Amino acid sequence: MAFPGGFREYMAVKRRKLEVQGQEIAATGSQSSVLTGLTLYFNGYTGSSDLTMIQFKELVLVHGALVRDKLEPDVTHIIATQMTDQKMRNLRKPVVKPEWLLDSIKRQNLLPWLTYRLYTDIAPSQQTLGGFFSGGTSQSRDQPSSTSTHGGEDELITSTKGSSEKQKMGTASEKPQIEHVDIGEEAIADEGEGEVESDVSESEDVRTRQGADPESEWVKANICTAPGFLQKFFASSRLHHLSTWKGELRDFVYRQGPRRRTNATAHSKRVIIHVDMDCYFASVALRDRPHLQSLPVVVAHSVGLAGRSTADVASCNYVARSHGLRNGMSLGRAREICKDLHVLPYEFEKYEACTKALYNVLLRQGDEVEAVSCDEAYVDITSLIKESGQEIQLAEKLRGEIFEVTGGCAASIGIGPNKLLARMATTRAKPNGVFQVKQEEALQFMEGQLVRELPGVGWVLADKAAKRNIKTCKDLAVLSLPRLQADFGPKTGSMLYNACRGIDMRPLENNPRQSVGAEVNWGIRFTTQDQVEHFIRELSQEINKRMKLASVGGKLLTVKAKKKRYKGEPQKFLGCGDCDNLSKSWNASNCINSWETIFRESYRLLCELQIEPTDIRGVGIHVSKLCSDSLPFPGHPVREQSFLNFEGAATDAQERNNPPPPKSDDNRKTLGEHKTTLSEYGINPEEIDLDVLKELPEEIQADLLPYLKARESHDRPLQINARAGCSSSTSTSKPSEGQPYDPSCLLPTASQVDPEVMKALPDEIRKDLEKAIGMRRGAAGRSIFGMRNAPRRGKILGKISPSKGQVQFQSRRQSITCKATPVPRPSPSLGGQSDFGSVRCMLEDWVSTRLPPTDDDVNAFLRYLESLVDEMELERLETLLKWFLCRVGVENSVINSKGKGNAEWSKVAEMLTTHVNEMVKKKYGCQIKGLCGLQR
Amino acid sequence: MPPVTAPTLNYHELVDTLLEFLEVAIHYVLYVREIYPADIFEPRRKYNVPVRMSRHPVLNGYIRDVLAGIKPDLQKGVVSKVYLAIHDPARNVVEKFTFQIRSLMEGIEEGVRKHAQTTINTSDVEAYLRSFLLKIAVCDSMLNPNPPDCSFVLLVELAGDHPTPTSVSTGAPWVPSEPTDVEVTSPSLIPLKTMDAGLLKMQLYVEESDAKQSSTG
Repeated sequence: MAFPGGFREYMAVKRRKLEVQGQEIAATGSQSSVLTGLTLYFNGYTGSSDLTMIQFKELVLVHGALVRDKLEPDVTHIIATQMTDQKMRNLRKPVVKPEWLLDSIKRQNLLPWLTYRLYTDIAPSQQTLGGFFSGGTSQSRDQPSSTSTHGGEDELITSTKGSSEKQKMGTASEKPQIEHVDIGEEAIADEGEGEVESDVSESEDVRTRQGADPESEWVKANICTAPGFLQKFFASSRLHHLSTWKGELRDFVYRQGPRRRTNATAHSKRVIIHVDMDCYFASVALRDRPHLQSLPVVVAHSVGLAGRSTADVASCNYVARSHGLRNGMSLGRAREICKDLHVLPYEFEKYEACTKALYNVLLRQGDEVEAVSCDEAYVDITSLIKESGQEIQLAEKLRGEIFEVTGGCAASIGIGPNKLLARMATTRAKPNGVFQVKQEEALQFMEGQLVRELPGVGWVLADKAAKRNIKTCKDLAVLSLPRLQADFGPKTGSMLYNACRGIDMRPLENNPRQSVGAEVNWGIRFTTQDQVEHFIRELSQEINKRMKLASVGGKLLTVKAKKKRYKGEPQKFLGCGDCDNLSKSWNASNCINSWETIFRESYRLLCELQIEPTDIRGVGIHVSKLCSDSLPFPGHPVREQSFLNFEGAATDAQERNNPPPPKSDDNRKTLGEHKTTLSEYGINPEEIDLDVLKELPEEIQADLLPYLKARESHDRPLQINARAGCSSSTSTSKPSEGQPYDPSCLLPTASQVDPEVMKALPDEIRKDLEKAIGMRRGAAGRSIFGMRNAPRRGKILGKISPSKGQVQFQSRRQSITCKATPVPRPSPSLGGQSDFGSVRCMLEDWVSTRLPPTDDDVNAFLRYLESLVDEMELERLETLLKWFLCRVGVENSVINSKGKGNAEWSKVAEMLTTHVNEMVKKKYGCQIKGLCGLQR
Repeated sequence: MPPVTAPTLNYHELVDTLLEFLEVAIHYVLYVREIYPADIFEPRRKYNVPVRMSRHPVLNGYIRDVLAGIKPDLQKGVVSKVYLAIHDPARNVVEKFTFQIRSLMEGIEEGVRKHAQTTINTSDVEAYLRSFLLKIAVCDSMLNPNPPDCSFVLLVELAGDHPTPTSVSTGAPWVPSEPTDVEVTSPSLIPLKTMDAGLLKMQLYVEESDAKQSSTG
């Protein structure tokens, strides 16, 4: 290192030096103190003023401001003339134009920086430049002021007086990623649930109230904590439907098996067509309402009568588009722009039928079909083209067919030698036409295209390009590949390089589903942790349902959450607003295929994200790394069979082994149900884990006994007998576990009983056993040795401290030399769960019921703690017990009508602590530091 | 149990890994507990965790000899505890780090021991040992500072009926130890970490003398 103290110190010194320099400048040339109190950071170009950066810095220094060379935490304002959206969001500091400083100095008065903000996205309270950023996460703003009338059954006509100013709007992505329900772009409005407000004024009234009062009844009935929220959400979420369809379509096309493949030599003459329905939702809607054909029509959730509806326009017909309406606009905005707007509701069943018809045509005709979304697909028609010139003819024929099967919905088709050109051609083909780009015209054609129109170029990338003065593909084409890669990164760079030349080598493909999941980002308003838990439980069940439908299981569980970044409520009603996106995932060792697992793990992950319930604005659970042996082939009987069996066994076994109080009134099974026989659960006697068995209530143990006996008698020699019979057998693990259930069997000799196991047995059984074996307790001799610097007195002391508490049998292992490798002892488990996280989740469930704990549960927990002491897991013991004490302490502080229950929990906590301390003391000679009773 | 992907270690490989770890851990404890001046420790990296290792040849030699001496017994599975006891100038034990080991290999033939498979692979072991080291790094927040001029001693406790350790030709011979070298007066226990490798389980905990605080002030 060139600098003695390393980089950090170098920077510190540099900073100090610059500060001193700044002070010197300020002291020598101080002109005013207009800017006192500001700490500025200059980000890049300082604008068109004729000052250089250094001069600028000096200028602000002499006017009292401080300048930082790096973006340090104490910086109050960032001065810049350009900055990307994303960066600004990340910085979270006011970004101000340099004119602010210049004007302030000129007027000798610190002007409000708000009017000089670079862009206006950060403070949503500002109305001035609203509506500029749209699409994605930010919300467009609607000016209130409108009058409305009511007519028709599901069409509501309103006339809105407002300026028809055109706005730059992002078209909301109608093609979300696989199984990915995006942020709440839709509001579930009153009509969504089929309860059309009978009176417009009332509806308007409701909406006004909603805006003002988030505590309103409507809100309560529609946020995530309301019963049936999820069903309602998934039934009326557009994006949810779109993404589900996409997954299904891909699976559907994938299942058609390998299609006719064009051979490699013909590759250069590939003919790809891109079929895209024209304003799909709107044209499906108009199909059955021909009288509206020539009027502006949009499809959206809400009717948006109040003129400030934030529901998105999902689709609008070409008449509406000619008024300046765009997909993704907010409805309120749309109403302002266009008078006589007809708003129609979603009709998901119709779309689905339409899509099916469309794909049937495509699959029949094409060599290969790639499903893009419900209204869009790539089709390889190479083999259908015998000579050039036929393409347009064929496409027209196809369009005619589609028009017919969908009952009058127009499709546009773009033809090209690859996917990119076909796709770009479609934009020319629209509406209701065909356009072909031939290979030789490709370059010329692409030159005229805007960069932001290219597939794969979003807002961020387009902005970045615009900053470099790249607007059209022509601008792009003059740049070299290395240059593009340096500017945009290797992958994007080469994508752009190829795209602007009309080169696209991607084959048509239908990747089968990669993940199953669901995300809800609308209406998420929690107040307590319990509500979160309940919600996760329901969402987990939903995901499990979907996994079953697709016959898949997965190994990676990802939880995504949105944490709000603003105060108050977002612009979009009950939407998620501007959020931090957090996620966490968990790698399962086995296929995840029960909702309990999903619930337990996702709840744990969500807790680990540590978001206040009130700050959560969106939750998503995804299961990926789908198990390859259960790819989506629902028709396959064998696979389905085995899958379902496994499912049943796993779920039920888990349910039976859940010791947290079965008394709570939610959907936990009660003890009575446990009496059902094994076969009903599909459990193989083979699978019964003795450890689990031990934890079960007596009655169940009794029920299971016959199975165990059967198992031991016929598939392998009875463990115990084998042990007792030959003295050279293994000396470990679970020699006595089968015993209590079969008193007739021979007892092992003392040397073969593992004391740990003995201790773990229930008291009565152990006493009986001890008597029978004639076991004697005695501490083993210990010898401790040091080296060199230990004092040499030469006496070995038999017992140095009482810490070695292990029960040892006389003559243990003296004569045994085993041939076999010993089996590791089972790790401590509670209710069949040995994974620490699961145990904790289970206990969390238990504690949060707030019902008084039952003795059985307490005993099970105590036994688990005991086994932790025995199994050298003191760290876990400490963590768990401290957590438990804390948890009980917290529950205590909650004012609860069941005061009695709390007192009992405290008693249990005290008892556990005392007991654990005693156990540790016995075994280790001292207590765990800082482990005392309840923290009050 | 962590998912098994890479082949699991066999018992002897595990023992080798453990000895390596013990060396690192002992050095690191000496650094963290400030038994020697910080200057004699140089920064190193083990299991991707920054640690400190002594540069003093005599100290290094002592630690290496002790560990070499443990090796045969560890392979036999008869080592039950490795202590690092810290003495104040009056030779009272103020603090004791215990590596408690429970091996299922006690009394098993050598041939079997050599090929016995543990339940974890290299990356799992490293993940465990990493967390041990990290725990050591933060343990001084749970412990009171030691009085000045402390010294330390490494001790080994054997399990069961093995009266003396296997003597090794290299290194110094074993000598029996006094209880005063081991016993902590009025101790309290701070658990640090546990590793479960199936055939072998290792726990690290610290016992701290309550008398320490009063003596240091």
